[in-house]
Amino acid sequence: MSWLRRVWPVVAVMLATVALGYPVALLFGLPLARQRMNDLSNWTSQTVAAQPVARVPTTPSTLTFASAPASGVLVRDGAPLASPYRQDGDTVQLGAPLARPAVTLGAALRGPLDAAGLVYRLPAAADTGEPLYLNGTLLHAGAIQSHERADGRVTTFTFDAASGPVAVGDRVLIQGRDYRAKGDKVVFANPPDFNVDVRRITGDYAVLDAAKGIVALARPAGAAPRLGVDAVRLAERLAGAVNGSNRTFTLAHAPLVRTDPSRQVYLDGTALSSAPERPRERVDGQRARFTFASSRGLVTVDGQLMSPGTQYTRDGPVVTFTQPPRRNAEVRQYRDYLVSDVRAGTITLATPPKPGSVVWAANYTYYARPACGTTVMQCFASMPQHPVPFPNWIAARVVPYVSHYPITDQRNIVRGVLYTTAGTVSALLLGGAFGVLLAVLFVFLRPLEQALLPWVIASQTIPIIALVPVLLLILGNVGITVQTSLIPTALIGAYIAFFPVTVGTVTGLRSVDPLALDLMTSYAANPFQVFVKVRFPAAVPFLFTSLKLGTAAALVGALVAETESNNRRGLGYDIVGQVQAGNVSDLWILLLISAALGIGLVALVGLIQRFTAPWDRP
Amino acid sequence: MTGSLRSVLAGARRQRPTWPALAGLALALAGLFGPLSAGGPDTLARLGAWPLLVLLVAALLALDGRLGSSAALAPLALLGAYLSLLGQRALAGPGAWGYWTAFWGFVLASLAAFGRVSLTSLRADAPAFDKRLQRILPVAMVPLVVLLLWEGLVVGYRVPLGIFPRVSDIASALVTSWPVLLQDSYVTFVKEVLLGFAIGLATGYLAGVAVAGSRFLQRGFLPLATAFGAVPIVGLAPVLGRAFGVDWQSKAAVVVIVTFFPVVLNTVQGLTRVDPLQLELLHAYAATPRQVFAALRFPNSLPFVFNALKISVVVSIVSVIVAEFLIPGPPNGLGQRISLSAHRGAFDVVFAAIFVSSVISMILYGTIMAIERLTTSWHPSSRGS
Repeated sequence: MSWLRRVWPVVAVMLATVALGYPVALLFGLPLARQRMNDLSNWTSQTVAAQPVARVPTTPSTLTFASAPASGVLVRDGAPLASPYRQDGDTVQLGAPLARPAVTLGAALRGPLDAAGLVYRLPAAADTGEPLYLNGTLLHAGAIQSHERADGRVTTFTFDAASGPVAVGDRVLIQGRDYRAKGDKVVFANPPDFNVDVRRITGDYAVLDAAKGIVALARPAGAAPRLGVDAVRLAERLAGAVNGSNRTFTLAHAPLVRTDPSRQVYLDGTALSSAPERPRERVDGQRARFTFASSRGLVTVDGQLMSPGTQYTRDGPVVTFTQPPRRNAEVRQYRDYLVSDVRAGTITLATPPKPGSVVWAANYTYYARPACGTTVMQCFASMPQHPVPFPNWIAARVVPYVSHYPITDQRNIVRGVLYTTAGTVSALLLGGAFGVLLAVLFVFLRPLEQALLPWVIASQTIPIIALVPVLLLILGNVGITVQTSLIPTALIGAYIAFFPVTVGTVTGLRSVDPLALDLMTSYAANPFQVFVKVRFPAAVPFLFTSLKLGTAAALVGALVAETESNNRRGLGYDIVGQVQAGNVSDLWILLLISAALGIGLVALVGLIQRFTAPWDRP
Repeated sequence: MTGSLRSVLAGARRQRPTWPALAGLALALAGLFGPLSAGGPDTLARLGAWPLLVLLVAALLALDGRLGSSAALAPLALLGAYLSLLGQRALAGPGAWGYWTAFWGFVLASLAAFGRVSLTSLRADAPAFDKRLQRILPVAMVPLVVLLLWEGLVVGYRVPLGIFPRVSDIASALVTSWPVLLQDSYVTFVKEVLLGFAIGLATGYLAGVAVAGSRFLQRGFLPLATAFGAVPIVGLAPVLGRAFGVDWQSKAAVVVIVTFFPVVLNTVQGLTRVDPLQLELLHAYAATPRQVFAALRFPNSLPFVFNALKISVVVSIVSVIVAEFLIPGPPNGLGQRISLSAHRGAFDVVFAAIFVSSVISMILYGTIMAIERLTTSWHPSSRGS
């Protein structure tokens, strides 16, 4: 029971330390996770598009849409419809019948082309943007990519969705024969080809190959889908007063993607451009007059909107600033509009629209949510490289890491540990022998000690480890590399380990009982006998204490030698590899392994002390 | 007057000439007329009168044989070696017999004089100057001899700079790149070592006080803290580099950890290993725990803490340099300088950086010793020496 009383506090403190790992991990990780979450470039983007009618209307006065914007505009061919209408949720009541039908069903798709009855071909490849109707109902496009990239070898793929047919390239695979699905994981019988798209169809259909016009349905259909031609769409009306003076309008979804090639904003029937124009002249810090391509638009300097009249004056395409922009400033002109506030989703038009006109967006992309998750904790959990991982994550990596390479492989961690141990032990033997020899010389040759010992002590403050790269290069020049021998490791470790041994042994050899020395003198013992019978036994406890210090030093030396040398063996090399790969959990495992190795080697020295010098138990 | 002269003469007669030194000088003289290098036609005599003059003075000192003359001879012979051989910037080939004979002759003469000074057993009534000479000269001579041998061998074997630099290369590297080295030392020592040291000391002492106050923590924490001494920095540094970034903060964190554990261990020892009699006396005075701490435990812990600081200042400098090897960040700091210079073969800069860092660490070590002497002069350990 006494051992329990000794061990239990140690276990308790260890457990407390492990528990402390969680708040520490959060302390270091949460700021990074928050940063990651706030960075818009890590967000998933989503596209808003004008909706085609969801069902081919049976009554000509009511149109139904799948998911309508709060305030919509009925458009056809890039212009709002002239006839009056009223939107009520997802339905639109027409005040007057349309001149042409809301949607005309065009040609049926050719197919099905495969056995499962899912793959069809569009009449022409250019039709991929047109809506598809099946039995008069609109089909929604939707497919997601796999997390993994097909490299020609991987057979297991993960998706964000757990159901839906799986398509590889322009083929839809058959479950059971070509693949087995288990939740969000899909295991293929044959690995997909290099770089081919592996997708899962989550909507009603997906365009598999836009160039060939190949689409795949999610479910087999009795009839072939048909193209909707000349369809009326419901687009988003931008919020903002149209009173002849207001120029700022707000989109329904934000934050916006600033340079979004798909964004299409219209003022009535004209498409507005947000492409920036550069001045013809160089911005050299002195010039104030700049010439642009078009003679109207919003002028910005370094992203700041300039106000006409006070900050610049315009004469056709020539803009004259009252203050010359600084050298290399970004001077831009936006002819129609610019995104003035990405976060709020606000755009500013160059000229205020006249009353009665409509500003609407046919298509645009916005950042829907952070890709890592909706809460900071989710982002923290999904971080690829944690500064400090949770202890259980480290624990979960232990078995895969240790068993990653078979024992026959040189990179196996057990072999790495053995290699480092061999280096450390040889360093310790070499350094210990040299240290003891030096100490004995010092004790017998007093002048030598007088001359050298102060420098030996002072040299402890020299960062000898700094010589490791030098020593390795020199040894490499002589033809001794770590690949072929343990010599560099042993030399470097010995170089570091011998100091404590020398200092400790000298102290020990001097710490002799003066009475014992007197006794030896009265026995007329020669110096050798005095050494063997009195001095050496007195020095042994000191020797072992300093050997323990030397062991830790030799291990550091061996590990540094391994990190600096370019061989592929040992713990030190593993550490460098994991640093470069950024596997923090594996680094922690290596830290624990090297700590255990250090503690074990020191304990081993203690054990040897117990057996060889039992007269002095520490 | 005559009496004193006679006693001086008698004293001089008691001193034998330093024969080994004379032999060495004779060798050097022979070497001075030999060929300088294996490849070229040079002879050492080309060097002019200076080596010969030094040799002559050295011979006179060796003949005199008194302790003071030998003490003067030792550095003078080294100077002779330096003048005659190392004034050579470029040898045409590896050193020939003239070079080596003159070099080893001078070194032998110096070592003989050196041995004479340190091996002579002085009587108790010997002059105080001689005694001091005997104490100081050997210590002062060792680095000079080492540096000279280094330079002489590197020059003699024509070792290229890319393999091992000369001492003079290092000296000129120190001169040319001292602004960079100064900046690196600022980063390494002020930002990383001193800051980490201060934090490690403060937190370590507080943790030590906490641990010393509880038997449970002593049992549980001390074995782990002892074991932590065996954790190699090589494993620790990359992990800290992840947590604190690659700039100086992670290296300061390494220093904090390296300082923390020795300070905790020694503080606990210092706080708990108090004289029971003194403790009882304070109890008899009805001292509060705070008073016991202020009057007994705190002063008692100081020598232990300084002991820990002396250990950890050395370890932390080594650790910082290893950490700078392993966490390559912005190229500041002596460790980074060493690593970068070593990889492009600029070993003169490497050794200059090592020299700067050891000078600064010796200053740090000395400062800690001085503070220790000031604050714990009452303690038996400093009374003894």
